[in-house]
Amino acid sequence: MPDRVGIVAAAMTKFEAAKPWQHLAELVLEVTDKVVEAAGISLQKDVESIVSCSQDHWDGRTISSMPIPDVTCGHLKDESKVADDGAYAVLYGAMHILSGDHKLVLVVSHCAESHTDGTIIENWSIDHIFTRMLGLDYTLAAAMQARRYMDKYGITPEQFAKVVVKNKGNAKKNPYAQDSATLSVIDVLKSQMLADPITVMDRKPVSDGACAMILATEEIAKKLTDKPVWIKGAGNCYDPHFLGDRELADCDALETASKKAYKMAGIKNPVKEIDVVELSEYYSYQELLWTEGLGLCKRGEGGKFIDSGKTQLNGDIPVNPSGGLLSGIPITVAGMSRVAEAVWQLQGRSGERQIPGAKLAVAHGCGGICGQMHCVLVLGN
Amino acid sequence: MKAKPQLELIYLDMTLKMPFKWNTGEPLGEFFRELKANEKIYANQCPTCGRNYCPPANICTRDHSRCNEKDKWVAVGPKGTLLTFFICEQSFLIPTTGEMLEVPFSVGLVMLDGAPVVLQHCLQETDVEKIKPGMRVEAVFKPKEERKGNIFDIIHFKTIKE
Ligand SMILES: [Zn+2]
Repeated sequence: MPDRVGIVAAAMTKFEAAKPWQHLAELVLEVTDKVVEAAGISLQKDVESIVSCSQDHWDGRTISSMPIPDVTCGHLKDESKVADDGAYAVLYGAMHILSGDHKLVLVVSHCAESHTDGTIIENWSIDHIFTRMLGLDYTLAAAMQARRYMDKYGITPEQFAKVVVKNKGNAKKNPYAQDSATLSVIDVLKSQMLADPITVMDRKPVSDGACAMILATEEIAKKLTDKPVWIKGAGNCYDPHFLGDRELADCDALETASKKAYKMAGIKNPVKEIDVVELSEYYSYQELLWTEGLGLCKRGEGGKFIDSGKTQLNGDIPVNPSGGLLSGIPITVAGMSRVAEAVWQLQGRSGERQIPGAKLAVAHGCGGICGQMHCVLVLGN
Repeated sequence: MKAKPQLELIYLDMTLKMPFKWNTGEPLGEFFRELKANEKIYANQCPTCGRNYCPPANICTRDHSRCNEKDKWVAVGPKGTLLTFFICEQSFLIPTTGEMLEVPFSVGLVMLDGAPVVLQHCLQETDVEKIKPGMRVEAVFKPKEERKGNIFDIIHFKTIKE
């Protein structure tokens, strides 16, 4: 059985508020063709298994993966779907290889948030008998989490706004990013309030796009590229769904997931050893909370951590040099695009947003209300 | 669990409604534009393996060859031969309209003239005695001003005698 999984290549569409000329399957086709070309393989002959990530309610069809085999040459092959976040599809694809079942796997995710109304979907994800009728969506729940975080640790909306300023600024160096801007903290604080303390700029915008990557055994990865990226560690963990069953100001699930991943990768001092982090901040405050959960700073110190400047593009440990989710990445694609960005950093393919000499990266995907579930992947070259 | 007749049984009733506006994409969009503007049904063929697609495909599902060049599309139908069919006798809720379905109604797989492709659509005939696989049928289009660029720009396939 193989003991290492290599990521050979990654590809993305440009992310946009709408892509009216492309069918959902055409988003998948675009990134599939790109990643196959980048990996220098034959889709028909070399790809043994396709793992996709999409969600039925976003696509408006039961079994949203139904059109995937058509555009990935997947007929009469192994095909499976992960329905949460794209980082989990990468994890599942890696398991396909570690099991010895497949030597080369195409992993792909897509979502066109512009096709429907996301607040309804978010509301539908909430317990249908009891709390759904209260009108919760992820933004309203996020406001509760952000307030709890502020209240427990004294974190401020100004510190949340700094995340927006950093990420939208970083996005200017990312040709795949949807939204980029030169902003001040005041601009963010004065933008339209959605649910105090969350403004429209504190929330990820509506976005369409897709992401794909090729995973392979060590032997094949080495043959295909002189820059294979290895999955050195992985961990995932779930918190309870009901918000009253968790401490919203802490992220126990992410702490557990990251500790597992670091242990597997042999990381003892994350902030010293990791060169770059790409994480899933659906809301600005989450970046601060997730840096705590990833062990980059202590509990309650996410605010001080952004103040220190360490997470800036030129800081000690850049967080979201791509611009993160705040620059516009659709749900499901979110976590996979974090992995893809980390892969490009380690392959030295990140252009203007490249962290010089990056050798060890962390990619983080999450999903569910207030970050219920987390997946952490440690990647290295 | 056993029924407990002495207790009130509590349900939660809710109807879930979801708006969608799906992109049709490159070949499917063009297929519908042709249906709407010109009453034309188009198909295309994989240049590698010869497999035919209706509506036209971007790429062959079997060998991933590109086959979307519009100048290689061929107009098929409107006549064709019935391959198989069903007749629905029991009404149910139409999810796209919320109304009960008028029965009987029938849908068939029609092998269109011009290329070996199958189009799935409604049949005008709903009498099981009068539908036979192998019979000839023809697409009936809506008047131009009523066509919207979707599959119901064709009303149904009617039985024809040749
Ligand atoms: Zn073919």
